[in-house]
Amino acid sequence: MTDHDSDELGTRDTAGLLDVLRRIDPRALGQRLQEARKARGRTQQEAADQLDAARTTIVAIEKGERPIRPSELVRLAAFYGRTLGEFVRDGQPVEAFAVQLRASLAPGPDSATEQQLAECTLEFQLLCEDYLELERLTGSTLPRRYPPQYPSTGPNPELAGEDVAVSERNRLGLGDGPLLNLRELLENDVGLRVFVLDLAPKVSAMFAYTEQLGGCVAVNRKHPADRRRMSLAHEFGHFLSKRYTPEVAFLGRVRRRPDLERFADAFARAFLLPATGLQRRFHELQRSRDGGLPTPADLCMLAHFYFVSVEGLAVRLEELRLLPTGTWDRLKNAGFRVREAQALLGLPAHPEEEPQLPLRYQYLAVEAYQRGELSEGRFARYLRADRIEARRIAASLVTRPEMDDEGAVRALPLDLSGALA
Amino acid sequence: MTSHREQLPLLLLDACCLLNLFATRHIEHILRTLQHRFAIAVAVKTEARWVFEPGEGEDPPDRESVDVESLATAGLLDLLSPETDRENEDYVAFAVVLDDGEAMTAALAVHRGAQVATDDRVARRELRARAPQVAILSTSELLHAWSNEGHIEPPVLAQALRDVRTRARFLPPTSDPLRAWWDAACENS
Repeated sequence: MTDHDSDELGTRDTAGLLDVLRRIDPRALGQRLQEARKARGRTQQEAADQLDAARTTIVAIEKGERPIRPSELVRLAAFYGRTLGEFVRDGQPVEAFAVQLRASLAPGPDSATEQQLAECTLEFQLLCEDYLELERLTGSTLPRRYPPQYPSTGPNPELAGEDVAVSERNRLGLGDGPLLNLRELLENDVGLRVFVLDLAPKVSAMFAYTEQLGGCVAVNRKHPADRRRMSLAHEFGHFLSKRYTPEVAFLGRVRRRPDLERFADAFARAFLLPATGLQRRFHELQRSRDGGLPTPADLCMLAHFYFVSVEGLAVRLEELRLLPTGTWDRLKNAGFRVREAQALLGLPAHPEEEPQLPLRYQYLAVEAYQRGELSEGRFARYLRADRIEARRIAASLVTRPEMDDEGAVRALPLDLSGALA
Repeated sequence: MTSHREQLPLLLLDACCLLNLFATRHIEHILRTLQHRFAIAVAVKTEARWVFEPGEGEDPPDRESVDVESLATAGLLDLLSPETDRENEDYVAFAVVLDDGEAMTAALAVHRGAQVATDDRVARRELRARAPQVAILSTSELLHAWSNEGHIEPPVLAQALRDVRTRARFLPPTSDPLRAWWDAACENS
């Protein structure tokens, strides 16, 4: 087939498509291409080789100084392993935070980790952009209940973290009990965007904030659920005190933790394990033991009650001086195995798996699809699923079991796209 | 010398239709029976990956891979990709609204004078708006034609349609003119 052939067939009726191409901002496109290249671990020279062009051509394209030809874009998208839609998507470009996230790391991590970080920061950013796009398509904005920033500095970051945790529990009307639905709480009652992603193994979570997106958190899906909850609470603490500073939180990377990290750690412990409630329950345990210290089995059950790790609970009890300092270390050195103890006690496991995407995000995607704002392929892309899985998710979200007068349970379809009368 | 198949009108299946036809368990017979030269865009191949295979009794459903290669080897399905600047231009432009497979299918249809089989509301809308000369078919139209031209026994057709629902999680929309036919055909056991 030649260009001449195609012109005869195509030019007449697809002229409107050229206008679509001209509307794409070359700077935004160049930035996306650069991000994708870095996430794939490719050099500008390697990208240039794909186009049989000089490296300076890639430099100019990424700066938005030289318009990219459609055939070049198709080749680069394939080379970077991305879809075309990621580069030419409609809608307002979002302030990119992937670069700032990676720039927040000092000193720089090793090159393997850096590569993983480039991939996961890009995916984090794309998901946040997708979330915003879904809100635009459905005309639904995420309600924000953001407090003013709390000061995190002072002579004692741990005390500051404790105080802010109490204030936030009061502000959100949470009392002093366990928070089993932390993610839903932060998504629905605060207005954070929380994703559970495959991050680099050493990374526990990431946090970013822009005016458009608000607070965004990605927690490492590979970590145990109780660890993820602590990481999420840590990032919430970060958001409350330094929301304009992006963060990539590593596991045990820094020996001497900066004040902000000490604050966020203390906040997380106090938010998930509030002093008053924990003290009350601990004293009840003591009374049941005739005033003696609780047993390791008691610790396991209490940790399960609060949905935190036994280590996290023990450290918190030491912090509150309810247990002697070093109790956890002694238990660990004595060979105490948490998982075995939990199994022996028959404690029902908390769900380990949780959805990668916020439930609201999924509902917005289904609504946009039902309204005809998204094609099936794009709907699947938004859900990070393939076609059949996307159909299954859509069906599960838009049907609900209903009992009829005869007592039979049936699945009734829900229309998410229509306004209530 | 051109074969009979090459003289038939070209019909591009998008991922949605390809999955639905595969789910019937009769895709080979469908492609042989209908008077079209069938093809898919290469991007569709990566999007149409599997359908459900119901488990035995209470077992959860398994997955069956969509085997495009064997259909291509049998000469029943061609794989096409954009080759000219104009095809790439329209591919990119359609990708602003559609996913890659859908966009590539639309661009190829525009420039190669092909028809498109898709059930996707947005893809159909975009094609009607930007390339009204492209004829659009649906899964229900293809299976209706297959049942007529292939003289398919009602119980076989009923099972094929039920398989589309269970294996591909697809039902034609209630606005589909063939929905009543589909529902009635499913009842034949």
